[in-house]
Amino acid sequence: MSNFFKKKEEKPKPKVAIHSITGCAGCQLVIYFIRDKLLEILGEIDLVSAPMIKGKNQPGPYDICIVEGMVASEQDLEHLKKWREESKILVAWGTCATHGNVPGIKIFEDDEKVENTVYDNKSNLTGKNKPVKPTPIEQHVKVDFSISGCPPAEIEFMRMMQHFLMGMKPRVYNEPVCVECTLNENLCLLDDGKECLGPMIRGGCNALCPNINHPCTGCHGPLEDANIPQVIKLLERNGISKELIKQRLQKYAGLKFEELGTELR
Amino acid sequence: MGRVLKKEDYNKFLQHLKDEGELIAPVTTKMVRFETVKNIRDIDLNSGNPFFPIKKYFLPNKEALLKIRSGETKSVDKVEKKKLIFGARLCDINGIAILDELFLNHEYADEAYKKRRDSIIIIGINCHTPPSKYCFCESMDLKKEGYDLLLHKREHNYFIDVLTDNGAKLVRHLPEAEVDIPLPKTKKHLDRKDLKPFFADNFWEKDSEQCVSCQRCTILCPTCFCFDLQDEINPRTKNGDRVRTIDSCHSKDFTQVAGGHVFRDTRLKRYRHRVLHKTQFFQDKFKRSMCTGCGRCIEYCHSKIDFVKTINEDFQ
Amino acid sequence: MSLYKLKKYLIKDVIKQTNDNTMIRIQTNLNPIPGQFVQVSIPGIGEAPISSASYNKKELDLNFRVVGSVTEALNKFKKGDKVYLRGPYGNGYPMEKFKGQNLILVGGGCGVAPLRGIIEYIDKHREDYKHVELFFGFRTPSDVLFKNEVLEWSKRYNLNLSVDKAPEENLFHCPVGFVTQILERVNISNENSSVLMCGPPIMIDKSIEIIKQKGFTDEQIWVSLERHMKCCTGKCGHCMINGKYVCSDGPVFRYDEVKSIDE
Repeated sequence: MSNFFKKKEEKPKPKVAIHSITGCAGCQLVIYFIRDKLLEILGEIDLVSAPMIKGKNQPGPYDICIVEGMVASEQDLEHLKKWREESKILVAWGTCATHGNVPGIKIFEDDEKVENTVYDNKSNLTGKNKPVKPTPIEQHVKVDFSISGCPPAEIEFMRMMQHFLMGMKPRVYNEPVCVECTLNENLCLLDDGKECLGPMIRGGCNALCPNINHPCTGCHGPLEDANIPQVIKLLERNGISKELIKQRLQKYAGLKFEELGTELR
Repeated sequence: MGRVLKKEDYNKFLQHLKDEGELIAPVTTKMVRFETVKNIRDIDLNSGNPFFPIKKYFLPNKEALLKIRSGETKSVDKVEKKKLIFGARLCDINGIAILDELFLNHEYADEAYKKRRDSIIIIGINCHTPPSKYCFCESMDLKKEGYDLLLHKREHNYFIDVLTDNGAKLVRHLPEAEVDIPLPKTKKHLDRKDLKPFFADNFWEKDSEQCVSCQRCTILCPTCFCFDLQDEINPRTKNGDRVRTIDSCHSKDFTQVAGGHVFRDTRLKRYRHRVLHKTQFFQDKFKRSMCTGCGRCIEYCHSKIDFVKTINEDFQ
Repeated sequence: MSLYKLKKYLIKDVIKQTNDNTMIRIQTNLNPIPGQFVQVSIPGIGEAPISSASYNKKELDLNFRVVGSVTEALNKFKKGDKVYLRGPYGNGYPMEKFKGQNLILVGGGCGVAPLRGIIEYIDKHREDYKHVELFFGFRTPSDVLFKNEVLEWSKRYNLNLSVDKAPEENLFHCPVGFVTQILERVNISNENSSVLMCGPPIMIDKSIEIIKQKGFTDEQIWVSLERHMKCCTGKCGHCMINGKYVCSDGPVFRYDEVKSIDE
């Protein structure tokens, strides 16, 4: 056996934290729901902080800090900056962290109007709770590695941890939903006249929705390389209204679509 | 010398095939696909060419090439079960003959491919009328090769061309007959020409602008063989596999080297590379076209980009 | 035996070359010809193609720059460890063809490593070749590869060493400037000569321009190309440019074969 592998085992286990800012916590749940295979990972790491499932949690430093959620308040920002300072590797986990997701829709609306609709009593929205422009975490701190998804698939967590533990830079699945969908031999919903966003959305989900005949709503956000104008043309060909397309694109990754040059306002 | 099968014995023949091993044939649920046949009544030859070509049985989307055990490697000794594929058309079958060039007859033959190739018997059917308006195989010089048996339907019976011993065994009970099966005719044609003079970007702009890089054209192509090798291991036990997965030249990562540089950095370059590989590069090297004219890359393209039309009309 | 089956070899020595370059010496009789490469495989991590930097029946030197997961892991290997290899692959430089000629070797950065294989080949077949001129460029003096051998080479061959810049002490007392600038200044004859190149694309392009101004034809220039490779046996498609597989048709091409090919 190569000594390379022996040495790995003698090393101290990497300190891992799983933290959360504004979001629904669903991305974290995906990790805990892995169960059996997660136990194998847990044997190889030292999960020092995971407030959702642990009573006693240690502060940093961490080797890997997995952050879900997006920045919506001053407090979020404070936590995020602290975790960044304490961590060697910071992972943006889930579409809130990577693209702003549903809370990010606020940027397309009037702040005042949204806050009045959501909160009965706005007197709490001061100090640390003061809202900031809802943004993905990479707009505030350096992110080493991003996996989008609302929520991301189990397999993406497993693959990421495999690569980290082997001392590699993780390789994120970077193909459109159509790839897995076609390999699953699904009937194409876009060709069938539906409002499927598949061709411009990052896969990795094994075409979860198209597999059950539901058009892709784009929860992983767009691929950097997507031909967005052409996909919009195809959706319009299917008779989908401009307004509905706009809403679909705003839903999970409006900021990213704007960054890639799509007019959403 | 071929054989002849009477129409009334057709179902008996299918049952005979099913008794020989795992029978795979076109089956229609929401659309027509190659599937393992549970009941021969499910076989459907009238709903067009199946969505996914028979390539999937020869070059699976994902397969383990090596076992990794605590940092050591071991060979994968997989036993391939006998399969019979019924109802494949000449475009798909020629596709396999083309894969054979690379994986079987090549300087570096591929063991896993060979094993599978040897375990599969192909019983093709000849097309009377093209199953889709996108078919253009008549232009692609298809050959009568790659199958074990090929059935050609006539009014009262099927004429069977026998190419291999494995095929002959399946039909030895049938009466002999003189068989000369005509190659299929198609309405659509590709104007075969040397594409080297048409390499400049302006010939490719119109089509590649409509391309959404979804990779369906390469995945559904009966001859696209490009693949990736990745290690998938359990971080605790350090056990796992080195797997081969289907890959596509339409992906931006396809030509990325360590360090990050991407050689085919634009969609146009990637689109042009695919079409030229199909129609020109392979031809130059192996003296046969890699495209078999099944038309799937046009039929299943979201934007219905028609490279045949472009080559015929715009490459002047 | 499977096409991707690996064989294990002993690492006899690990020689740190520069900050990010390491050379490992492997006990093997694979003996690739100069310009050929082997696929280094680390189970669980992956494979990386690395060019042979030697010409020797018993040992194989592989110099690599730490740039990806595999090279990062390989950089942790120690003397006495074992490493999996498959190969050798590729065509290599057609050394037979160059018999009786003057040879001009142009290399930059870790592209000098395969040229070291050519030097070792010429050492063993010295009578077959005439004048040998070397043009090797590195970023800084501390980035110079094969530091101990450079002096030896300069005794046997006409060595033109250069560094792009010299922020620290210039141990080699060599000119500061791009290798292409040195190439431009030196008088070399195109008569009965071949130019063998390996290095970053920008250096290759510029060098070819200069060499052609000096009267060399495309048929006298040989370049080694770099591409993303997986199978290394002319199948997986990653390294193909315009129908040519860099892994099996190359990686060494006569310039007229590749000059007009675009991606």
